[in-house]
Amino acid sequence: MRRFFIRQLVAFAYLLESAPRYHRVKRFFNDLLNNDDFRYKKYFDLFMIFVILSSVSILVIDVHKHVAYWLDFYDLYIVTWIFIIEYILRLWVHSDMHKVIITHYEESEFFEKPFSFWKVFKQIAQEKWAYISSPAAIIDLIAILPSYREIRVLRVFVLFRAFKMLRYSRSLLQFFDILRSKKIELYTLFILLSFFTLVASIMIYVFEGNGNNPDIKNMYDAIYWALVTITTVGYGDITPVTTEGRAVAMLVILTGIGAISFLTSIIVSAFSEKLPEIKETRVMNQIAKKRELNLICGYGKIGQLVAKKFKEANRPFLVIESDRQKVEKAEMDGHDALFADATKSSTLLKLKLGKNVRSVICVTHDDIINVFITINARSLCKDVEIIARCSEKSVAKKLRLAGANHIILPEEIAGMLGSVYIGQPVAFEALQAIITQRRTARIDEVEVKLGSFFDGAKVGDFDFYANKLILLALLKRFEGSGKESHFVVFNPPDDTRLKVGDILVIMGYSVSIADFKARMEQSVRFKKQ
Amino acid sequence: MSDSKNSSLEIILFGYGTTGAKIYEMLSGNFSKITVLDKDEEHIKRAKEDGIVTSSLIDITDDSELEEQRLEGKILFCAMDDMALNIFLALSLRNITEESTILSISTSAENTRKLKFIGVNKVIDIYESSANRIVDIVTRPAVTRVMDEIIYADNGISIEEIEIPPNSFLEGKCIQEINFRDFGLILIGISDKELGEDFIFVSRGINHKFDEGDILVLLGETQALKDFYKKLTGNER
Repeated sequence: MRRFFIRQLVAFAYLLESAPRYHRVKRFFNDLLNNDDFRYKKYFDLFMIFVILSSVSILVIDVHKHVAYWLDFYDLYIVTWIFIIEYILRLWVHSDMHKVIITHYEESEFFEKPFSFWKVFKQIAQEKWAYISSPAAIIDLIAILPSYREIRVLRVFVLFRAFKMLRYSRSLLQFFDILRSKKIELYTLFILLSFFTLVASIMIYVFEGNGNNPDIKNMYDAIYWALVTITTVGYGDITPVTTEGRAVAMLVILTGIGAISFLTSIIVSAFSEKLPEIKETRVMNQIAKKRELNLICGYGKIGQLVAKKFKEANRPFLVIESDRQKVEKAEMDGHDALFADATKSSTLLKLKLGKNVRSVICVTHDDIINVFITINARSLCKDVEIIARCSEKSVAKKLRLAGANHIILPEEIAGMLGSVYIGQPVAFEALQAIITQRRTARIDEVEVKLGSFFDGAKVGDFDFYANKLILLALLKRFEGSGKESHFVVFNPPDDTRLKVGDILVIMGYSVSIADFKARMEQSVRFKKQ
Repeated sequence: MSDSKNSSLEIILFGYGTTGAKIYEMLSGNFSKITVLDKDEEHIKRAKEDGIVTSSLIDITDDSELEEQRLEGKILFCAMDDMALNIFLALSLRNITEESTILSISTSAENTRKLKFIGVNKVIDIYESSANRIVDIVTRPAVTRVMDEIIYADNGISIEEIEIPPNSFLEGKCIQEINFRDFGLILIGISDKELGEDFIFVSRGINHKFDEGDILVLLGETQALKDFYKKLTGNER
């Protein structure tokens, strides 16, 4: 009998382990309940907050006048059942029971020891108990209780439904995290306050509890008075009448002011200590939504200009700076900034380098740091585009070796611009005008899209001149190579064949270019039909 | 033709510090007559070590010493490391000579404004141009690639401006009558002296008539540009 039961149990555990559907369902619920990055968790959280708010308001209204029958029904059954189901689901996803059974079974097989029910049960119970005894789970459990109307006291636990909301709101949780960082201080203060309250209440009881003061009949009244006074609340429903009592009151008030200001300062300092962290979380949350992110490492002269220009071009970017003052400056300028060290791999990993980041721009004033950031980024991700600034030619070589795609030598660029200007001032001004897009003439790039009229056509098939455009060059895609790489063909002859993925670099006035792009898009739509 | 033009240009580079030395390096690739002046003995010593014979030590804050350099008709490039000194130098130079082209580097928008106010012909903001480049690499990679090939890369593609000589075959013809693609060239635009210094982009679609003295901005292979230039000047008389 026992043997049969074990075999059934183990077989069932293996069945669960091998069922992809079971895993899928379990993972879905785990994501829904616990994974902040999961898409639908947000909706679940909102739904739960709604359920809680509705239930709490029904209970509050119910205090004075009776609510409609269906509301009562909703609160009594539907809400309670939602809570119970949620509680059971959380208990379920917390750990895998069948895995415990399987490990124990395999162990017992391996060592040829008998399979112990008791051990398995103990371990499962331990794992589940770890969840049940966690504060969040206790609040969940208590929040179910107020539905039991027969015991009125249980209604107090409505409060716990409000507490339950914490689970669904990250910012509220953060508040408790901050307080937790000051646990020792708060604990000390609490002990101190309790001690003073106790001493004060004993003193007032000794002086006035003997009938001098009709309001203080017992120790409970004395403690109540002491607490009200020491917290500087001072209702005034109980006041000391004897000289000794008043003296005690004065002492309690002085202690109280000290204690309260101590408490305030603890909370304030906790917040100011955690403020950068809160900011960081906020920035990270915003950044997490963005794709194609550009990381600007260093907020020096170039970094500032790049950030400004990215903002104008509406490109997502994040400033990373290891100098607190510069981070503040970036924030003042209205950019997202992170106080972090970009030479550390953890910083870049946190920003999901491989997934969300398009380019890493190393523009700190120190060449060595730029090299470090480059190595760091390249070692973590092969595909990310790295642009690095340096001031020495020798460093430029190292940067290439480290894996930078583009190297910026500010002085060299200035010299190059100068020499172009000296040689060909008119051409230079023209190019500058086009590049900086100050005038309406500009250069733009248009990719040949799949199914557009250019797909498979020849360059000569389209009359660029009549459309007031100039085809400067064509970036042809290398055949066969999987990566995005192109080679440049200047002034391509009319019989050049165009393929999907080729990029046309055209010059013209904004209107003409916009028109050209629109036509490209439109032709795609027609071909598809 | 560009070789002869570039070799006839005389450049005076002021400053051979960290910035100046790099600018010299870039300039020396294209121009042969470069004089380096600096008031720092160390800098001039290094310039001599780098093999620049035409470098000399002068006090650039002294106008009389500057005047001795015969600045007229030359291109003056201010690239002192000290920005305040650079602005002072640009001001002195503008005072001494009206005609010369003055270029200056700048390190901030504020300095750029000051230099432009002085009357410097071209101000190059080191950081701004670097930032522009970074932004272009990210936002318009293909355009940047093409521009690099034109300006920086040594692959035979270049952009040239050619002044139409008197009595050339272009005289009196319209833009549409000439197909520059036949020469393997792309005409980007024209600067017409009669219409002021304004630059006309071809893509605007105005049918301009070529005249002597117009400056054509052409893009193409160096050989094609040379051939075109020969054809243009060969038809003189």
